[in-house]
Amino acid sequence: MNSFPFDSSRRNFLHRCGMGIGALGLEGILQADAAMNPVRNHFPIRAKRVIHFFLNGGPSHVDTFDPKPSLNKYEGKELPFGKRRTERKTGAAFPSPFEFKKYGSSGTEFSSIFPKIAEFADDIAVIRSMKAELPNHEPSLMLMNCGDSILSRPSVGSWVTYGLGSENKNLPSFVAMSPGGYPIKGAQNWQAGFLPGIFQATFIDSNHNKVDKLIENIRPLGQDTKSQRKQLDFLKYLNSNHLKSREGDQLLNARIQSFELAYRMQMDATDAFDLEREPKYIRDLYGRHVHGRQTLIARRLLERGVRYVQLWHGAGQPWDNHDKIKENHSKLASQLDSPVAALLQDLKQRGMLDDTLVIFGGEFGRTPTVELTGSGKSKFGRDHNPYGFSIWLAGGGIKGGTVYGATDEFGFEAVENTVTAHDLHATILNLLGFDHESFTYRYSGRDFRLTDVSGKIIKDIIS
Amino acid sequence: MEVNNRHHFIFLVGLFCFVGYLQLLSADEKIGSKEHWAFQSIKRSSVPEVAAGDPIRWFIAESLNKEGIDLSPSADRRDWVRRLYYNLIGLPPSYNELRTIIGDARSDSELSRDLVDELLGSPRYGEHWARLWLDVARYSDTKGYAYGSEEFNFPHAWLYRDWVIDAFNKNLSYKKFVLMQLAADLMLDQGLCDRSDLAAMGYLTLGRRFISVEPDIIDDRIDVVTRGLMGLTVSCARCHDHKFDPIPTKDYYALYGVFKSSHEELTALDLQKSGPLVELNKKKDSLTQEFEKKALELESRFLVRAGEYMLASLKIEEVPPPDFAEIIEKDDLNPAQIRRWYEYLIQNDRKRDPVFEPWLALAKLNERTFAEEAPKILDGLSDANELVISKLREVPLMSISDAANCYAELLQSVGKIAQSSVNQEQLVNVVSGKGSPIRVPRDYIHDVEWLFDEGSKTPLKKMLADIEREIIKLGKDAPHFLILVDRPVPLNVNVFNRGDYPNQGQHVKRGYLSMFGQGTKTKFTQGSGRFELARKIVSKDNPLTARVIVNRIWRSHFGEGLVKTESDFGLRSRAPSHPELLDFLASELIDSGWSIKHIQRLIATSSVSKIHSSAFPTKDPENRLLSVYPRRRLSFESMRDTMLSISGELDLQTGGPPKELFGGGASTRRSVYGKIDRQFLPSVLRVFDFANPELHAPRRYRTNVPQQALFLMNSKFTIDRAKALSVRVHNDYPDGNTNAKVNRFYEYVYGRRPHPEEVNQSVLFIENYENNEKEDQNLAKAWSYGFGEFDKGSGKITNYKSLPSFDGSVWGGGSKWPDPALGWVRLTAEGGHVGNSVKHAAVRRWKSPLSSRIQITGSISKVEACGDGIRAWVSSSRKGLIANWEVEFDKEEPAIIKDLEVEEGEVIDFIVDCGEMSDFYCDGFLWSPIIKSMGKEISWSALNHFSGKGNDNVNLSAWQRFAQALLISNEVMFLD
Repeated sequence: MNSFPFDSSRRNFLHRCGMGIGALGLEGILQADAAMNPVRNHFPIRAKRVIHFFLNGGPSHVDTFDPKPSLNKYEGKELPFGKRRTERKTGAAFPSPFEFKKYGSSGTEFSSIFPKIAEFADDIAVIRSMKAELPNHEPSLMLMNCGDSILSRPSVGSWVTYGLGSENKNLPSFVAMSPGGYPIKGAQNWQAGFLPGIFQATFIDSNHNKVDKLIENIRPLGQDTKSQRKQLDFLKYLNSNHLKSREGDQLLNARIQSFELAYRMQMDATDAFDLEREPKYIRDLYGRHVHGRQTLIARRLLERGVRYVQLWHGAGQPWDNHDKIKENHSKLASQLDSPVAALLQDLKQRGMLDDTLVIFGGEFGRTPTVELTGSGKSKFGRDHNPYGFSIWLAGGGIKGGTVYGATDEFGFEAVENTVTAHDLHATILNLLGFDHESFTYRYSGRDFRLTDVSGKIIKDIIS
Repeated sequence: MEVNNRHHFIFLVGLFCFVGYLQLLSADEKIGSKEHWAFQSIKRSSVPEVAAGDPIRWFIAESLNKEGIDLSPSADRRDWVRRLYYNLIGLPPSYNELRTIIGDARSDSELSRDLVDELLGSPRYGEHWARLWLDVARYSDTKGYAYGSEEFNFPHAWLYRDWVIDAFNKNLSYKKFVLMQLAADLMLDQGLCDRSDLAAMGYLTLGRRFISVEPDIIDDRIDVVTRGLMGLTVSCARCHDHKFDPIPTKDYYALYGVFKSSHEELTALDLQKSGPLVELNKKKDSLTQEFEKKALELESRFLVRAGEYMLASLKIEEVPPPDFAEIIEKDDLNPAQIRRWYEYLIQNDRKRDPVFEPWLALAKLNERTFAEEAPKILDGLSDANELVISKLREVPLMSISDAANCYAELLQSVGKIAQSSVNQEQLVNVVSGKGSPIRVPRDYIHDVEWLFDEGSKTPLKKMLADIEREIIKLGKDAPHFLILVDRPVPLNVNVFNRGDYPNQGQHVKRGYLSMFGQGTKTKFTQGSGRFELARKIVSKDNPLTARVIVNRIWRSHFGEGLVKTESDFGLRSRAPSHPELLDFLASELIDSGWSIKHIQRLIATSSVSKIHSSAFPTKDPENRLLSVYPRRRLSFESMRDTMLSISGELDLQTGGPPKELFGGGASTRRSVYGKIDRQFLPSVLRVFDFANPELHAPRRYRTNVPQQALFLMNSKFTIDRAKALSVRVHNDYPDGNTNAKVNRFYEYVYGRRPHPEEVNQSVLFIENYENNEKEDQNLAKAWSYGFGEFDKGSGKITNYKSLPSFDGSVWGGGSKWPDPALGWVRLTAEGGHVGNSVKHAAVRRWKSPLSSRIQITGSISKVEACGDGIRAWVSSSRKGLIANWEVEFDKEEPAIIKDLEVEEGEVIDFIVDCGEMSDFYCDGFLWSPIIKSMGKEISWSALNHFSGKGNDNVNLSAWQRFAQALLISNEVMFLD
């Protein structure tokens, strides 16, 4: 069942008329404190839900999904063309310390740090030609998540949950998890912007495993649910008494319902987060560590109708490896490889991969040249690189075994079929059934879109 | 250097908008922005003599008549009085106030006139209405995302909040209210306001900091000024001409110049206070010294490389934009400094500037013919600085970089020229005069931080952060505020084509929006032009300002504005529901000397404010014509304040630093005094539709989600209010009978007496719940609390002793913690703390009242990151050790025993100690096991059946649960 916090009839009407939500302005629609059905979709629905692994800090594409043998030839030498300006100074070509191999019948190449994910090569579409705008984390995180580097715009997850509503009204429909605390930029990464605040993600620190640490006020304080039932029955009496002389007021009715909803949410949420209910082999498959747990919780949430789950690697920006890329990237990759592969396998065996879109990537890539210290020594790491990087997608509507776009010979800049965050967002919306050009929200005198005034659907990665 | 790749994207933006503009142009021409209602001057309709006493009713009734809809009759006095209280002061009337008023013999109109006066005179009025304005002003106590080297909190943002409250309370004219918020610094110079009024400038300075990226900070200021004050979406014109409204980009950049010509300054508001400020002043002095030192170093580098900077500034399109943050080292050519040179050289008068006239002329020459043409150019310049000309003639100029070198050499030699002359002075001015492109302004660090290299900038920012923290710590003793002041030399800018800095377009003089008139009259000439801008906004010729504010006031009274898009009165806005009424109110505002209270009085005393709330009529399903009063839910602030007021806890202290509204030690002051952290806005605020403080918020959403219900059902805040209310009633009736107490609850909560049936149901609930509670008390008897030493050999506890003291929520050694004798050991409902040695392990004991198979669930975690780990055991008096764990911070150990057989009287101990090393620091733990008897459906919860009544985490009494149900019911939460 779908639920939405606004008036249904009017919004559906607007969509039947092909006018979109913005046409009459939301101000009127938001008046109603009532339940609402989702926006009608524009396209066939290929994916019903999204899980986004966010490798915050900027994983290096030339060490993961974009092999560059030419770097070996130039090892220790300056690149044969001018380097692009980045945040810090870099020096000579720095070949990847990892080996690449072809996997699956598609032969997509993966580096040795993701051996288990690589086994799913034929399910994965790698985009090797992503482009961001600025060489800094903050604006790039905003661009990837909200489609604008600076201005306060709603995040992809907020747009999606605003458009689709929730399939399970007892759980938040947009969840962001990160072990140990916030990534850089905190809650702005999953902000609702000018959309109503309820479309912001519910943040969960997955280092915790108690449900009341995960969702605020989810557990009765000082009474058990049996006593609370008695109390809520009395509240219902008070409210229906009040309603008697105010018959037919939808606002009052809706609020009465919300307490019943909340009561049920207490049970359902507890259930969703309780990994004890998973068989041992599933828990082992995902791994008995925080990334395994986080990913498994995510699957339980998706299964229960949560629309959008974003899994951050950790607090701060773990993938920001300005130095010692070999050690650092191996360690980080080993934390994700099993859980992500387990998720792909698990979704497959449950028949959920077909309509679950899996996204895997960071806010930008890293330079193919080595970062230097102030005195010009090698740090064995790489600087930020917004000019070219890789992400991959799988599941819901994605054509597996695809490699799309390319960077230059050394991996500094995307040169073939470049993909912007807007293109990626347009594609995500398309898979979810939305036309990114007509999915708008009126704010401050303008009809805003997630993709602003650009965005082209990457048709070649859609099956 | 290369062109930033955003150009392509931004170009598309421009193209799209241009196409959109073309498409709309024809439509626009037809409607004609000139005819748009909001841009017409305010027309005051005449109100017939008979309606003079209640003009608002006349306007409303007129438009209802046309549609054949009747105006609702007056609501009960109780309802409309409650409405007046909430609409004017945001708090409910007490039972006694209501009773007196309801029994008052005066007529409704007489009564409401007096009551409105009384409420408008209350300090609570400003507190309530300030919040409306704080939404407009995107108020926050914190700066938003900031780097670690900065202080996250604004120093004393609250001074602005208090200034706004005070302005409402003393009915500062709206005109002055606006003027001061934009230009108090300049008004102070002219003696038009007090020094304390500088806090008004928070309207401009308390926006997000955008990690010091200037175009974004200025954009936020333009937005809050234009949408907030005039209902114009000028920010839409940042990248292209406004698609719908007559706002070209050059207007946006005319305003941009105004803010570009102002810089921030952290200033002391009270110059007399010096006593407690010794430490602060010391810190300020050392920052000044360090800043001076670093600035001098920087200036000498800027001087030496002046030629390189001048050259680079000729190719501004190749310089990274201001938001492209690079780590700049000392020997890098700093893009921020290149931009500064560029901005200096594009200023209007520079073409006739004796020093740079030659440079600008030479810069235009073709590279190929440069050597040939250059001497001719120099010959033709009769007014140029002679020192410059002769320097440029010293050697033949082969290229523009030769000329750059000449300038660099000349500027470096300025100090060494023997005799002083006009020519020399002109050069000195370039090097170190007002507005010099080489001198580093000694402004607020964040305004100039981009000029510094990484190694110099970070320590300066840290010193500033330290000063800001000291100011915050001193609180009221160090009233400081971040204001704007004019730069010594104002700057005009070029249009950034498509919003992109490197893509410089037409030069624009600082000035006002061209829709209000063209030509020189609209240009600003006094300093930055901020004061002129402010005066334009509140000028009589501006029809928008008065309309926008009266519309906001109207919306606060009736839940909906006469214009529904409160901050967009542009061509795409819907026409007002009652255009004549809107204009009437706007002209009343202006004619009354911009008196907000006058408008409040007009609205609140009108009989329209008393009409009945019922279902919307079918002929007007949105109730746009206002035939009935729209029932609505209380805002978050009113809800919280109401609950505190009913429980008798509301602290009416005014003003001062912000308070935490939630969590431990939460304040009971009015919500307007709560801390607003825009980066980590408490989720409760979001859930209850609080205005997003990231940017100007025209209105609040009204949603209804189960998370709101969860907060009211389960949060500590709600439960604390229920407890306090319950205590309040019990204090009134220490031995009172149940019925009398129920009566009193209804009086406090609903402001009325209950009906007999309501009393019956209440009593029934209380009795029923009490029975339930007795069962719980029985279960609680199974638990006891002590300490002892775990013996490895037997797997049991030895030397078990009961903890001697219970303070209402904690079992421990005594009233002090740590206790002089027993140390740190303690137990709470949720967990506890280990003792100082292995002899003082914390022991939660459960004695089985029956023989049964049991299951134990729960988990153990260590609360704090410091110290070493803790050890935990479950032990049986019959079987010894059952299970054990070692727990470190961050590892939450599931403590589950799936199946255990116990006999009646058998004791199960839950033991935690500090480990052999006796490192007991930071060894607080969470462990509240639940024991379930399998097959019998009984469970003993350490949390819910923690013994000791009337404290956190134990079952509240039935009365408290009764109080909570009343507090969160619709009768409290909705305004009829």
